[in-house]
Amino acid sequence: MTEPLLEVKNLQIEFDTDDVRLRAVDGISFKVMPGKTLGIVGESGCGKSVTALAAVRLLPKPASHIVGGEVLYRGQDLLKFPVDELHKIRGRRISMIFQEPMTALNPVEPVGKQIAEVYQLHFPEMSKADIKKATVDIMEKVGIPDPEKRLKAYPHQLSGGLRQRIVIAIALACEPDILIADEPTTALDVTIQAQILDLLRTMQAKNGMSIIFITHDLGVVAQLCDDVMVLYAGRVSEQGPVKDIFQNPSHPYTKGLLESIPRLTTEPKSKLKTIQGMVPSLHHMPKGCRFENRCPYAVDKCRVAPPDFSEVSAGRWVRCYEWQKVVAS
Amino acid sequence: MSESLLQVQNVEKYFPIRGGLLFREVARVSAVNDVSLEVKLGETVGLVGESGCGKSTLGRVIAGLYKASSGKVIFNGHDMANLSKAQLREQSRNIQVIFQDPYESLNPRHAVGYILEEPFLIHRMGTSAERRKWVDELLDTVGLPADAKSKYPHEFSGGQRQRIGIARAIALKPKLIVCDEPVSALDVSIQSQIMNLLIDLQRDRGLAFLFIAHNLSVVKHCSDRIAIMYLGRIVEFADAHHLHERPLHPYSQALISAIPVPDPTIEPSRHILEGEVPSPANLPSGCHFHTRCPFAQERCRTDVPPLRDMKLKGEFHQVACHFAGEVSFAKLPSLIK
Repeated sequence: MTEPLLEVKNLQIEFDTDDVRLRAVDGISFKVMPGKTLGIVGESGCGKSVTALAAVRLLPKPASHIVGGEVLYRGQDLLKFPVDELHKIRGRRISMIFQEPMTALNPVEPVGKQIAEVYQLHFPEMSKADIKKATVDIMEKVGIPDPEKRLKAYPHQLSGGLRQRIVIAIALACEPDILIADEPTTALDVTIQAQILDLLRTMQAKNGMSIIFITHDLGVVAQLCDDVMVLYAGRVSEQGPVKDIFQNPSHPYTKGLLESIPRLTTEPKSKLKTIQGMVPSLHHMPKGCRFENRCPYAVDKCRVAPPDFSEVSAGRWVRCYEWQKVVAS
Repeated sequence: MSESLLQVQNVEKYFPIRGGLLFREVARVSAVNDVSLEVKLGETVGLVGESGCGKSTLGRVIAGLYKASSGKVIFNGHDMANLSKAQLREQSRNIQVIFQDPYESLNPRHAVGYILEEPFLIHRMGTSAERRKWVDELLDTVGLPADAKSKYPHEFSGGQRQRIGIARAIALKPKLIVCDEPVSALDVSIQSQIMNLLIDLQRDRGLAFLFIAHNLSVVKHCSDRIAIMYLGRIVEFADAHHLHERPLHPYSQALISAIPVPDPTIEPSRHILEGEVPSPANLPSGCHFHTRCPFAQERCRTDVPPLRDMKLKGEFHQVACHFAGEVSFAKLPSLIK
């Protein structure tokens, strides 16, 4: 079997607040296989972005603390890397795209210069002419029309879709092994989102990179990802191949989510299924399963201690005592 | 079907861009461009389009928050522009708005009890005891506990805040509510709760909704008819299920196929539109969509296509395309990669 490119083991992250320390991510583990796309889904505050930021050690300091776990890139723990070694990997082997392309770009520098910077940093031996050529090349690859002309453009002169393409160009400039995309299309319109997703698929087919795609849109996961990890309140609910999980979810939360989205085939104005209640606050996390207060399948032991992982089928894991009932229902 | 509640007739709304020494108008952003639309009593009309297409501006013109630059908004038989102040206040009770961001549309310094009582105070209704009773009833209707009255907006989650916004909108028993992206700021598991609440309220109170959103699956679920906007114009207006099954405008076809379907067994969309939306400050000539339309011909660059009736199988279906019915992405093999 192939080795995973990136493996996160039992990651635990805590944040300092005014009075207490809160655990935002509690024991998340996942593997990213070469050339595959892993989707991380969950609602706001579930820890999906924090997990990705921690993987490349970009968490805000000093408020956050990685208190446990490992992030293994090709077998080496990134969390133990000296900072200057990390710089050689970040942006070169592992790059990121963020949600809001306006804030990810420097507003007072032309976009061409911002792309060129990546080459200057990672390939100091490249000549100016080569860098310019590479910059125009990558801009062309990500579908920016008239790249030569846009070299001198400032971010505010470009539309949202083009800006996101610049961010993608920066991320893909060094042909990374892993691209971490944190809600890269959430701020964009659907027709532009379709363009960007298509671009990511094409680029992946060309250079075989792995993608970690963070989103709250189950539709995007279904269309783009091979595997998915569903997070709820800082813990994994279930993880495994997208096809299996979407066809027959084994965690009540995933099942509830999938049933609550209106589809184009849903009977109009019919009652949508809902998940009652709300996510518990980090200040008052229940002792047992964190979904217990909203769960239609909950039994007494759910309140006592959180369930461990059960293997539903090969490569597919769920954290629920009652998963067999969920699958059967 | 039932009688007409709202008629929007040839409404235009533009915003001046001022500049230069004398701060004169140097250009215009044309947000809404010759739009006509009708909402019947008790129905939901969905208004869909991408950011900057003018859907929210149109919603605000209808709600009276913006004045139309030209054209008429006729509500309940009254031309809203010709009413006296007193008449306008009387009529405005019948149109309310639910905003996208429940974090910004509630005054953070007021307790929820006051936020919900305010509509009655403005319209000088009831005694203080009656108003308190009404506020309790409102909270109960939208599914909030009675003790919410003494709390402030920041003490609630996004979904609960949207419930407060809905309670405020239904307080004066309006006939029409303009819902401007009411669920798009909410988490998936909360969205369905709010949509169910809106659908229940419509059934119980005979409300009409103008439901503005960019998420077509959400709009389709709660609308009787759907209008699709592109750069300030309505390009297609049809019965909801009919629009989904047989979109006639190439933009509607691309928009519907661009929605990521939450089913991994369905192949991803292949009707991907090229290019970007042009700026509303510098609109294309002719059909606004011609710069991105794979079927565009010479005529599309010069002539504005009118919104015309297509009456297919007796269904209501209007479309603004010179070649409606002849063009379809399915007939365009070159685009399928």
